[in-house]
Amino acid sequence: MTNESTDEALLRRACRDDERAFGALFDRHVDAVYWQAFGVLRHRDEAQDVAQETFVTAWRRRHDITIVDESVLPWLLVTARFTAQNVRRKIARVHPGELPEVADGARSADELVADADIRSAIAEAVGRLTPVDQRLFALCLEDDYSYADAAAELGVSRGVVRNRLSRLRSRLRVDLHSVREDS
Amino acid sequence: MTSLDDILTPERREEIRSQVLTEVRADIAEQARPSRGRMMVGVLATAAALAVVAGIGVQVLSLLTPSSTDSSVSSLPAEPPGEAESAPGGEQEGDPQSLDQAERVVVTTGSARVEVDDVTSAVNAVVAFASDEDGRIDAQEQQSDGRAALTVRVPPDAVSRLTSRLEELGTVEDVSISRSDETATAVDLAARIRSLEVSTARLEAIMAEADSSQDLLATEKTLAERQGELESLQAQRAALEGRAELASIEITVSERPRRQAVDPGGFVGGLQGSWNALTRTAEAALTVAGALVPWSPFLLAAAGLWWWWRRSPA
Repeated sequence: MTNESTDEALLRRACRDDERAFGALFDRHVDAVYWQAFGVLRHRDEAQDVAQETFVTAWRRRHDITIVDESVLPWLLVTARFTAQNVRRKIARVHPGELPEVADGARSADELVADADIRSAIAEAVGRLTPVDQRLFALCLEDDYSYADAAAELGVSRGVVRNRLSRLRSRLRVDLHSVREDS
Repeated sequence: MTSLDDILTPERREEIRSQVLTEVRADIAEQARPSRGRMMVGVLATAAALAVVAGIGVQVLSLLTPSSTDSSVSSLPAEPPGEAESAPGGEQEGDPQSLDQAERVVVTTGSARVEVDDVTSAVNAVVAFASDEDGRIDAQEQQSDGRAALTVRVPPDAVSRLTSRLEELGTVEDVSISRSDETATAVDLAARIRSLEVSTARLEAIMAEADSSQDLLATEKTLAERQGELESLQAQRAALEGRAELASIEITVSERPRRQAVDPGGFVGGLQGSWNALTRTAEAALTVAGALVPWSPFLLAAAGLWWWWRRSPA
């Protein structure tokens, strides 16, 4: 991440009621969240509502969000997709035909292109995550894990990875120190 | 071709942002205001104050009213018993169908509390009274705090004399006498007993003339049942007659409390009464607080842990 603060640090500040920190989180992830919602709903205003709701939920439950590696994005994307799916079910029940069918062969080329763009927009955001967070995203959105389960599973492996990294780092420091002494 | 930027325009992004941050700011403002905490404290304080006032009020009321009366049919000592119910109760032997109007079956029960200077001598006086009136003492109990409880049985027309006697012995705190007309029950019992007597007599006659042992056995079984029922009803009738013949009064005799320095009544009395109540309440509150003190480190530690856990993202 090239930005000054990790998601973890921003979230911690948000937990202390720092509005600007939460705003920074918003700016960082709003696009991906919107595209996730739009991908499910194909409706600009409904997707907007879902995006809003996702972030408001994130604020209300900021103390409970589990960051597995470094990013809040997996949590946001899982929540956005879940919310969008609920909205779609409700709309389909109450107003059948209002949302364009996703698997409609008669769709125009415009919409098909947008499909690919949306997917790549999300993929780009996910691609910027660490490997562990990417795995989290895959578990949730492709393998249908619940966020909690995926986080639990990865939390274990993340702990292992972290330990290995910190051991590597300290060994490296020792090596450098000895090199400096020799020279 | 619709590009993504046409769908998620900067305006739309800004709309989302402002909606979300409005909620966030409202949340923060709500929590910054100590209103919720203050409200809770206010509610608790008011509740506590009300509880104290209620407690004091109750204390004052109990001090101001010299004697309370029971909710059941109560009689103050001066009330004479109903003359129509002074018949000794019990029905005529053997002729249940022709009960006179005057021959009602009335069961008298009651209770009385009396405060005396010397419990032992008061109890002896009550016992003597009971025997003078051709009654008896059914139960007598002495409790460790100096109170005595007696169940006195005397004829119903002696009950008013009993209360008069109690007044002579000490201060009668409350008296409650109730009379229950059980004539219907008595008549019913008598009728059922009569019919059972008839049927058992008939069964005995059948048994005497029974030819086969089979008939004999069947009749004997029925007869045994009838006789059992008959005995049970006869016992019930005897018990009812006993209860009607002698009234049952439970008397509690206790020692007069130490002379109170304050006369319950008047402004000063009310003031002192509520002051006592207040100090008692304060003592109780201090006891509770003292009991909690040893636990405070644990409570504080637990509260601190919870707060720390809540403040950092899980």
